[in-house]
Amino acid sequence: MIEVQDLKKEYKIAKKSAGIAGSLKHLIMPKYETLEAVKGISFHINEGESVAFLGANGAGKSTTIKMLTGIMKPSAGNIRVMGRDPFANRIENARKTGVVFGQKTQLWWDIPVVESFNLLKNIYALSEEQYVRNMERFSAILGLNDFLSQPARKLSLGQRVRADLAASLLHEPPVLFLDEPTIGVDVTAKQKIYAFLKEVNQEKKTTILLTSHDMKDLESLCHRLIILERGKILFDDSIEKLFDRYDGGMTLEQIIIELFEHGTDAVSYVEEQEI
Amino acid sequence: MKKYLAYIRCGFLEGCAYRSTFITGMLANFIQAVVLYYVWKSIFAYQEIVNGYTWEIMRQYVFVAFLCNSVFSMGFEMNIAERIVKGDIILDLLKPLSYRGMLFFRMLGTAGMEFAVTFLLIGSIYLAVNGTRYLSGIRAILFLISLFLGMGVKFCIQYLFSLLCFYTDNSYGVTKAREILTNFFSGALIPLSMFPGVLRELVRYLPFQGIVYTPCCVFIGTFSIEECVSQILLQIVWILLLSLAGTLFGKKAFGVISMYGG
Repeated sequence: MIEVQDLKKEYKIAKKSAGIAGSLKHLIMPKYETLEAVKGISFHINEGESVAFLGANGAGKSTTIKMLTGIMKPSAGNIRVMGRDPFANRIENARKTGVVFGQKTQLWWDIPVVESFNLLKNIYALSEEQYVRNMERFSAILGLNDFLSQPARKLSLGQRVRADLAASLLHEPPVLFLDEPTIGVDVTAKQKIYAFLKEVNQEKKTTILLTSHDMKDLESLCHRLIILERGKILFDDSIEKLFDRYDGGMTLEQIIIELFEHGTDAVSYVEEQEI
Repeated sequence: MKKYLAYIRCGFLEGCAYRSTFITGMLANFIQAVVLYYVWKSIFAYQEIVNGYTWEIMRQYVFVAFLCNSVFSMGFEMNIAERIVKGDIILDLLKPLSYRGMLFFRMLGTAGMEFAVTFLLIGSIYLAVNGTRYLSGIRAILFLISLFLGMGVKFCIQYLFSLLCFYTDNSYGVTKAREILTNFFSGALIPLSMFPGVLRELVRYLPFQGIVYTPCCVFIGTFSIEECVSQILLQIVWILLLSLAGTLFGKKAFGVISMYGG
């Protein structure tokens, strides 16, 4: 379903020294340095898997997701999503994937939310029947009815994220990329969202790849973890394997903290596995 | 095609969303058109003919030029440029359709409302000043074609400029530069035939004349019918050339999308 080989992404960032003098200097002779956000990662995800990306801030999770969705060109390496290169076949890829960036919204800011959904119905050429069925289902689970007639700018963060999630699933994509899909969502709604995603994953064999900072929810939804650290893969296996490695009684959260603090041990763990 | 039509609808709804912005925008349009009219009136009070233009022609030109220039105004363009700078453009790229096509139809929807009202407003001022004596059926039809093609030329130029935002963060600067360039070289402020020698020649080889000057001359009759047709063909050629440039530049620009974090 998703194959990634030696994926790399470098950013060119402006290097400015502090203060007015530094800014002026940059104006005349700008200096750039390259930042390697993703340093050659490889993994393989099968159909119907639900995989979580974990990593500290700046580990390269979002960057990887952006490359997988085909909106950003990798600096090096190969990506195949359902057999296609997502950047070269952006439009085809977009038809088959659903994406949520919790930090951004695809809803139209100034017009009622329901109009955004209506537009999606036309974009993906959904039948009236499919549209109504999905909308009813999403409304029941995510509680959309309360704010469908409001413009997106009037929604709370949690409402907005719920609407965005529904929008990404309306066309029943076989692959779903979720980048922090539960930002600002309250505890009960969060529970509902993860239960819902689990259902989608099991019923329709939808492949899910998500990033989140919420360990508990990851644990209940995903069977596999990919842990990134400074652009490299630290750990890539099932959650049980991670528990096996540590003494019983530790929660996932404690394990992750342990892992981030003593990262190198975990790398050697992955290498051992490969031998 | 249906999906693009859906974008017209959303664009239109978006255009209607802010009543006060809309009303003040129209008021500003009205004042601007009237001021231009009186400026030219005072010029022609001193001199009967300015570079071959009589007051008879000029008092038509002022309003027609204003109408031509009012479509696809700057507000929407700023919005696109800002989406690129802020990185929200990635959400547009996640949709299974052409980014440029999507922009065009959305803009058409937003401009539709604006244009309809400007058309009524400026049209009635035109009629109040000139009456119906200069109107002709064929020219009106050719004018509408040329006006629509002019929108196409303008859109292509706006698209090219918006792509610059992949390389600079200054969305305001980019859109303002575009506006000043088109306002001056399209004939929106001064009819191009009033330009001095070298500049007049130069403008012939630029695409901007297609936005305002061409439809204006078609309407008020400074072009013969044959000239109208050849100038309309020239507009089409420019649209093809500019969209090709947009495609090539776009390919390069989308490759540099890079955003960290959210």
